[in-house]
This record gives sequence, C-alpha cells and structure tokens, in this order.
Amino acid sequence: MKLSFCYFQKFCLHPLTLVLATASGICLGLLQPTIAAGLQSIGTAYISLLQMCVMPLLISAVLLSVGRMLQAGMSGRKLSALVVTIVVGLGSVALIASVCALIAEPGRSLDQQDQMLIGSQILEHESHSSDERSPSKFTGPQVIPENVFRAVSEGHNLPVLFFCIVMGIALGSLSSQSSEPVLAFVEATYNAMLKLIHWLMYALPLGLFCLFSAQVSKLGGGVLLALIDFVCLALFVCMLLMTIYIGIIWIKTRQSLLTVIIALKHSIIISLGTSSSMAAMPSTIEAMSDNLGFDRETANLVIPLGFTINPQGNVAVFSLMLVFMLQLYNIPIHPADVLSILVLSVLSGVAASTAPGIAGLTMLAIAFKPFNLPVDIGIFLLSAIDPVIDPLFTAVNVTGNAATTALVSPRSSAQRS
Amino acid sequence: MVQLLAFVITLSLPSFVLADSSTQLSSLAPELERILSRGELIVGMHKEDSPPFFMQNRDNTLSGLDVELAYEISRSLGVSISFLRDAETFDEVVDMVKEGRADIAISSLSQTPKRALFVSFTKPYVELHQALLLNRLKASRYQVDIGQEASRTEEENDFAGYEWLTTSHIDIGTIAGSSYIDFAHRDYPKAQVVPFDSFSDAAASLLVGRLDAVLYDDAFVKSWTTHNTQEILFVRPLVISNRRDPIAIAVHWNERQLLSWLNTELEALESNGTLKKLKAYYLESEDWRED
Repeated sequence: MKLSFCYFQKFCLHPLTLVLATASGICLGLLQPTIAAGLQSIGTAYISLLQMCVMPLLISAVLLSVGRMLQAGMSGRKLSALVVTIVVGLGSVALIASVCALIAEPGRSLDQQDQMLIGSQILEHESHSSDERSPSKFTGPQVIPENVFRAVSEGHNLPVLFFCIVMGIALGSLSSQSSEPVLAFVEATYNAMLKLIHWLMYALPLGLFCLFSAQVSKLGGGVLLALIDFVCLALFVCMLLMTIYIGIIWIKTRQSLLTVIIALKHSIIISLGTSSSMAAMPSTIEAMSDNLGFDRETANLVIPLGFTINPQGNVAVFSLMLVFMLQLYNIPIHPADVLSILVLSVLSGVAASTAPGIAGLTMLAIAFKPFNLPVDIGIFLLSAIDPVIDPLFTAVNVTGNAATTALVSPRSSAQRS
Repeated sequence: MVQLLAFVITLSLPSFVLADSSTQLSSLAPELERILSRGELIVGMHKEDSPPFFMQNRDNTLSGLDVELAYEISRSLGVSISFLRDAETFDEVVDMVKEGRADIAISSLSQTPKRALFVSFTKPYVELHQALLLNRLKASRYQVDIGQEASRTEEENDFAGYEWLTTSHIDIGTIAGSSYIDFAHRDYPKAQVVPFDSFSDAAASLLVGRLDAVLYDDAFVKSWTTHNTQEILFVRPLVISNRRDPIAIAVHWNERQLLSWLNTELEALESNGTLKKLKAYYLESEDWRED
C-alpha cells in the first residue's frame, strides 16, 4: 500500500505527467470547448487552494528572512545591491521589449480588415460599458498600510510587504530571547505552508488539465486574430527573456542546464497554467533554495518582494503595448522618446503589479497619458489578448525573479566547494 | 373644421371622387386648392442623400423614411408626388418652402427657432439626438485621469466624463447650412465651429487630427460608424442623449390650413402605427441597407 502510494506520488510529480496533462487539457479545450468550459470551476478551485497559501507564506517568508538576516548582521549593502539589480533588471527588460517592438513594428501591420474587426468589437464594448458602472477603481499604488489587516484582507501585497519588512527589522533588532518565540512561530507557519503546497502539487496534473482546457476553450477569434502579429512578437520577447533568465541562473548555479530547467519546471508550468505569479511563489522558493542551492533567506525575501516590485513580465508587456500604440496612432518616436518609454513602462508595470487582480491594467494610463494615447483602447486590446499573454508573462515574472535571486544571493553551503 | 376632416377622410378613398367635387374644392384653403388642382405635391429635399431618411437607389427611385412619409402624405391627399432636390444645404431646403418653390419640405429638417422665423413647422415626426464623433487621440489630451473619474458622482450629466467639450477651446466640425451650426455655437460656446460641405469631408478632417470633434445627428453618425468600422480605433461616436434634435415638416408660414392638415395626418399615421413601423425599419434596424 505504501509502495503504491509512493509510485502515485512519483507519477504525479513527474514532468512527463505534467506535459501530458497540459497537452490533453489543450486538446480538450480545442475540440470540446463546452465541456472544457465546465471544467473551469475545478481549475478555479485549484488556483484558490494555491492562492490560499500565498498570503500566509508571503508574510511568514518575509518576516522570517528579514528577521534572521538582521540577527545574522546583514548589512544595508545587500539591500542596496538588491534595489540596483531590480532597477537595472527592469530597465533592461523595458529596453529589450521596446527595441524588439521598434524593429518589428507590430503597430503598422494592422490591415483594413483587422481594423474593421477590432473597430466593431470596440463599438460593441463601448455600447455595453456605458450601461455598467465600473467597480471601485484602483487609485494607484500605496506603500504604507493604514490598517495592515485590511491590506491583507483586500490583497494589497505592497503594503503588506512593507509592513512585514519593517516588522521583520524590528523583530530582528530585539534580543534573541524576545524575538525567538515569534520567529520560531513564523518559521513553523512557513514550513507548514510549504508542506501544504507540497501536497497540493500532487493534484497539479488534474489542476493543469482543467485550467488549460478551460483557458483554451475561451480563446475566441476576433481581436486575438487581428492582433496576431503583436501576439507573436510578445511570444518572441517572452522566449528571449526567459532564455536570458535561465541562462543567468545556469551560470550562477554552475550546474547543468537540464538541472536548472527541471528545478524550475513546476514554477514555470504553474505560472503558465494559473497566470498567477503568486501561486507559483512557493515552488519557486523551493526550486531556488532546495534544488539549486541558493541561500534560502535571500529567496524568501527576494521572491515575494520581487513578485510585487520586480515584475519583469508586466514591464515587458507594457513597453510592447506602448510602442505598439505609438506606431498604430502614427505618433513619431524620436530617439529622446525612447528614454521616456523605458521609464514609463517600468513605472506602469510596477504600479500594475501592486494592484489587486485585474485593476492593474488601468495603470497603463501612467504610460499612455504623457503621449496622449487613448487608455481605454489600450486596456480593451490588452484584455482581448489577455488569455494568451498573461500566462506567458507570468512565466517571465517567475523566471525573472528567480534570476534576480540568483544574482543577489550569496554563495550558499551547497555551492561553496 | 369638422367638414374638412370628413372631406379628408373621404379623400383616402380612390381619387376619382375628386372628379365631381369641383364645388367642394372652392371651399378649401388656397394652398390646398393649389395642390389638389395641380394634382401633384412638390416636396422639397436636400440634393445630397441622407440615409436613412432619403437616398437614391440604383434604379433611380428614392427610398428612405422621409420618402415613404412623403408618399403617405401624397396618397392621403390623392395626388401624385414630385421631389424637388435643388437645395445644396438644409437652409436652402427651408428657402424652397419660404419662396413657394416647394409645397412642403420633408428632408430630415431640424426644427429650430431660427428657421421658425421664416417657415412653420409641424410637430416633430422623429426625434433625433445630437451626436459627436471624437478623435480619440485628441480626446485623450483632455480626458480626466482615471483616478479622478472614479470620484465623479452618478448624477445624470449631459457630458458625463466629457466636460472638456464645453470648457475647452476645441475645433468642432459640422455641416454648413444645417441646424447644427447653430447647435454647435449654442452648446459649445468656447469651441471654434468649422463648416464642411459634407459629413465625409468633416470626418476626413477629423481623422487627420485637424478637428477635435464632428457634431451631427445620431442617425447619421450611427450610419457612418457602421460603414467605417475600421476607423473606430481612431474615432469614437458619442450620443448626447439630453440634446434633442426634433425633425419636422416645413410649410410656408402663411399656409395655416396645410400645416393643420399635416399635423392631423401625422397624428393619424402615429395612431395607426405607420410612423412606428417606419422608425423601426429605418432608424432602429439596419435591414433597409440590403434593399
């Protein structure tokens, strides 16, 4: 009995099983969209289970890592190294994405028919949306929570992170005697969450199957097809960035490329399936610390923090979108504008990731306003291609933050040889 | 009055009744006598087609809401019909009636106080609304921030979210010689009103960014957007639901009986459902396009 359970565990976690589950999910979504759409509820339940663990894990990971780092006498130099890496990282992402978009010129490739198709969809969308009032709009990133418990319950990650860092610093500066019980409790919570997620991984094949089939079944033609050039460009940029990130990790870890990819397999597949970088957070932390031997404390801090303030995927999409719209509306792009494009993409991308849920797209306004581009059109187009774009760029977020961890992490014991 | 009513109802029967009514003819008002003895109703109309109100078909016949209404009226009078389409602007259509070259004008005419100085209008048979075609790029320049928009109250506002239309110095294009020149001056006092000969000229100017908006009636704007969906990425149609544009028939100011008769006729067409059917076909559906 125990043996067969053991085999079952191995089966569930085997990469081939995951690939098979994904592939069959996609097939079902393509061939039987109605059945596939019905599986959405199972998929959503699975994501909810994963996300249920995210907030406790985030809080405990950050508290623990900051507290322990302070106890171990971590210097401010480390933190500034992190900030520099993030800024440079995001800037280079925006640069790569913008350059690709400037070369590929997706905004000029829309022909008459594409425009007609998009136009009629916009008309329909605008005639319906005049009837509904949008729900409370996200008014911009806040950093300091007035009420941390409210921030936790509303899912505002950035204020929660801020609180945890500050609290972690405070805890770490207390005497060992006072802070240890709390840190021990936090550590136990942390490990418990990891265990819980580990168990959830056994259900990953089922979850992937349901999620992918539901996602694929919802893919309509229409605007998605009209924007196919843009989507292909996005896919290319995505692949390029992920290759760079995996390359960075590979160089830093000095293990074989295959080892790196296998270690990150869960993170990447979960991000593709759930479009939620938070849901992939636990497996990413595990992958970087256990499998690839980076410093766990660093991973515990950089990864939760990074998913909020280091969203490489968001920045890439927003800079692609910005260049696309500039080309579409025939606004000339002078060399001097490129700097504004980079800065605006980074700012709007970071602002978007601090927003709960889908309100993030409204942050596109930060990038569009200075160029007087119509924000509602940008949001409409992005929402239309979201089912394809979101998984891809979540994977970029995840691998990007793993790479940031690799760059900032000190040599851990596994590497010191 | 009652006598005339009875006479009119009798007239909807075959028109050979007229042949031995020569004694009754002389008790008619002069304008009605003129039309009936001529045996033809001259309807003034704009030279350019204005779908869905009046348009020329491939076989050179006319169709449209105004055309069908005109036929109903001529049928009711028991006379034939001819359309006089000399007018190059809508104001010129009004002139045709004022100068007596046409008996009545049915040409998607907006009932405005300025025109009512020179001609009489029936009660409106269609109520349109003002509509704008906005250049999206230019509108973004003025649009409020998303954050501010959220704090706006829910109350009914003519230009909810588009207040900049009335407060900024924008360029609004509209059709020369139409009522919309007056509407533009009245409702957008800070704007520069640019007249154009045709809607497509105005739209072309809007698309290249020389205008911020084009102002016209919602029927026309809707028709244009349906035909030009490829431009929707660049322009946005906006109906101002609180700005009504009443469409009525114009007659000479002195021809009170004709006016009275027309109002009665319109009332009858309203109550027997003809007007409703016409509006449903031409204004609320796109079916008329296929024919």
